[in-house]
Amino acid sequence: MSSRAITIAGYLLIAGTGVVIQLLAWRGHLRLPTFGQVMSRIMRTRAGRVGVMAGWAWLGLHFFAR
Amino acid sequence: MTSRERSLVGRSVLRAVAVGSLFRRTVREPVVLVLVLAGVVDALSGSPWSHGALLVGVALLLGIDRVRRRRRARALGLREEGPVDGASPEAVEPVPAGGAVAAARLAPRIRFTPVTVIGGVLYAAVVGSFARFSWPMTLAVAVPGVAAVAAAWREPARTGPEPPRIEPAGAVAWATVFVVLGLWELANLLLQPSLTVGSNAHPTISVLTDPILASHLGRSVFLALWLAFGAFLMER
Repeated sequence: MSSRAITIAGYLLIAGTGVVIQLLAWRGHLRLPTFGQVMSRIMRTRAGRVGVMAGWAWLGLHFFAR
Repeated sequence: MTSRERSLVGRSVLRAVAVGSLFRRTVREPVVLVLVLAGVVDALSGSPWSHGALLVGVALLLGIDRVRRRRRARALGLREEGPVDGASPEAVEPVPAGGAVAAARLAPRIRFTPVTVIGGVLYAAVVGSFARFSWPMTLAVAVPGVAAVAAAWREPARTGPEPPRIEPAGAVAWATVFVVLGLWELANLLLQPSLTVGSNAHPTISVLTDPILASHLGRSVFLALWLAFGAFLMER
């Protein structure tokens, strides 16, 4: 297995884990919170709201902007 | 012990107390630290300075805002950290005249209606036609980004029922996903020939998405997803 394949497999494993947690949360298993619930909790404060939206804005800048 | 030695010891103790206090405050509100670290790493990886400056600048403003609100809380006789009888430093944010109704109107809510969805798709289709890293693209992305941050800043402290508490196991699960993602990305960044030169053997997310974002369709789809994610976050 090449380094590139291992790297991509790593990203897929991480993303897959997130999907599994989300699915388990939706079905009410293991009392896991959904991603939305975690974001709601974090964004309850100004620092959380602004920090999360700054991260979102940065995502757009990083992939598209000079 | 001479008086000079006692003075030096005293200053060391005060410094240790200040560092400890800063550490406790950072752990309670890690957003500022995360933003600063992300901004610094982003700048070191060769991204335009404006990207990291956004994160560090927001962190700075949040830090200043927190100091200001703590002083206001102290002046009002509230506890500096944590809620007391429902009150908190967040609660001393000024409430606009007109009370809760007017305050609620300050925060724009992005609903997934046919109008907003069609608007978002049209935006993505048009802006996706711009070349990456061009000025039109930069403005088209920066304007909604800055507007969203400003809207989040202006939103008053949330009232109403508290969102359900997150079980520690759930918090750890999600935190682990994002920390591992960050570390995996960092590892691949460091395994590149240099911080500013991508690697085919150890591609970062940016390198992996370059072929997708090379096309108009790829850029439009990505922009539409980015917008939808932003609308989702603003609804939280």
